[in-house]
Amino acid sequence: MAAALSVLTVSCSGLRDIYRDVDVSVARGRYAEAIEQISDSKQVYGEKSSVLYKLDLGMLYHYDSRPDSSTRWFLDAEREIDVLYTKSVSLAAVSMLLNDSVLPFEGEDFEKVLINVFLALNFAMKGDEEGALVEARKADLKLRETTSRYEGKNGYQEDAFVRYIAGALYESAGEINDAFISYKRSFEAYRQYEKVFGTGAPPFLLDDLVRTATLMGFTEEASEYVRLGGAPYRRVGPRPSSVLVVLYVGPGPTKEEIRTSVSIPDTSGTLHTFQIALPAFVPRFRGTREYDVEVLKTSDSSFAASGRTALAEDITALAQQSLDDRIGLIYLKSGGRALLKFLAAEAVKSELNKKEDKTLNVLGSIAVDLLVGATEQADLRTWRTLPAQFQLARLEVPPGEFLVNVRASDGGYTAEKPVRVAQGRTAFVVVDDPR
Amino acid sequence: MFIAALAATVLLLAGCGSSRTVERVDADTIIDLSGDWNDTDSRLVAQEMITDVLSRPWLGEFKGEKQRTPDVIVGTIRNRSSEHIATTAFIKNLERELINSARVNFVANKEEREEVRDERADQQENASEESVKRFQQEAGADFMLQGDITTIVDQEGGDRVKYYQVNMELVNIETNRKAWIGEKKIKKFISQSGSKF
Repeated sequence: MAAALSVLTVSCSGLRDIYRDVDVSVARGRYAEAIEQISDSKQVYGEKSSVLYKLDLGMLYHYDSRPDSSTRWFLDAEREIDVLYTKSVSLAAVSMLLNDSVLPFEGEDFEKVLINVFLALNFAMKGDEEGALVEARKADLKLRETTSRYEGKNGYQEDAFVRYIAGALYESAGEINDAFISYKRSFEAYRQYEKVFGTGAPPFLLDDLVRTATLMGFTEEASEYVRLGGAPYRRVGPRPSSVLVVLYVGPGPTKEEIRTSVSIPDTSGTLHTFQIALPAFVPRFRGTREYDVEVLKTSDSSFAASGRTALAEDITALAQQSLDDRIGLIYLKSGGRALLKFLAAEAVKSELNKKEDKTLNVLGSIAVDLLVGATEQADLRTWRTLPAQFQLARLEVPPGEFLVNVRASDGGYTAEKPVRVAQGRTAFVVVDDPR
Repeated sequence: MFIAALAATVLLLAGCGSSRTVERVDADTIIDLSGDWNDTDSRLVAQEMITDVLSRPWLGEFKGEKQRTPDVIVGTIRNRSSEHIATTAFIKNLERELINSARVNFVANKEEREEVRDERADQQENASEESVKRFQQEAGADFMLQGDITTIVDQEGGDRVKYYQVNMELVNIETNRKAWIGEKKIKKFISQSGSKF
């Protein structure tokens, strides 16, 4: 029995041990080291957490500015998630008696959408706008599928950040109508975000709406967005070029277990109380940081543009919302599992009671209770290498080659990235402050 | 005890890995696995598009007016779909169908021309006088074939309908007039079971 128990609990504690080292490497920006730590631990992730293994590697390669390797892992993870749509009935039955950790990890809804965000950024970093837009469309399909699955009752129906990135990609590719629609959907999603998560639209989004509406000749919409605070736009010369800084801030949330009691009456009316374990997202980064961005010409280090980043997505809040969307189901399943375990344990105890050795009976009953309690564990697997926040800064610059400097106002972080901006295009610069 | 039995079941289930088999098949065999755009779609659409474009009046009109076979080039095929499509392979299929039709001349694309120009420049230095090829003798294309691939996906649970539309246009490079517009639609129904044992 002890061996069985260790088998059932080993995967979660093993992953916790890996992440202890990986967290330290990531916080210091030593991504190659973190990649090695994860790669060496494939056996600990095991078959059941193979998607998580791929997501962690995809994320770390992305942080390490190796978009090709990152894309390979993310696409592989996405393919496996697709296959996992077909649920194993036998494993589901086992999970009803033990816990959800025996099921293959396939990620929360928001995590599935974020795969496409990072893939889009990987393609954009390589200048492949077409590939990036494919990912934006895939994210759109997933959001629609999620909303349809919950029949519109889920809190995570739109992703304002994803829509904004799609808008910037469409605009850069010269598809202004699609860009306007994406910006508009982003703006509407941010109105919801403001109410639910307290994340308002980045200030430059209104400028983007005015610009694309004007370029399309949508005068009524352009005036409306000017009224809301967007800068008036008059087309002079070719389409403007810009640098879009995507900044990842802080470590993403982890999952912890919350134990709670449920009471179920039997046929005689006697109440039986059981412990159930539920997962909950816990923030590892609180508050926010401010960053100054300065763009300098590479040729003579002269000033080209400057600005501040704005919070564009609070991943911790999104994670909590996404889990809330299915917590009712988890609760129901845990309650059912508690009942099944109780019935099974009672049956075992009743068998033990038939034996003559009373001491053995008592010890056996205690052992059964201990095992029942020990197997009730929340599934704490989560895509832990995610950042806590996305911040954005968009700066209009002439075409050319630049150095982008990003500085945290608390003085604890600076980054410098070279970028080449083509006429009328948006160049994506991805930086991360993992502290 | 029942937990030990369950743990054994879990271990057994976890150990059930899939074994891979490989079987050689004819390159023209239609095999649909994921429901995504595949080599069969690429080949069939290219064949049908080129058959269509070569059967239209623009070809006869051009030959009548210019007294020669037109030079055609394949330009960009944009992927506006929701999946990564190897448009290079599709372009190659279009090029092959065009060349093999023997009804138009086919001009090398931009990247290929650059490489050939490098070779020609190299010949000026290194090739014998009788074999050296001259500059500025390239055939300029009369028409460019351009297009895009879009998808519309409708899904409900494990059922998905994928609708591909391939649009292509033949543009007269001198006049910008469109000589032909073609489209090909593919509809696929993909069903994935929600459960297995």
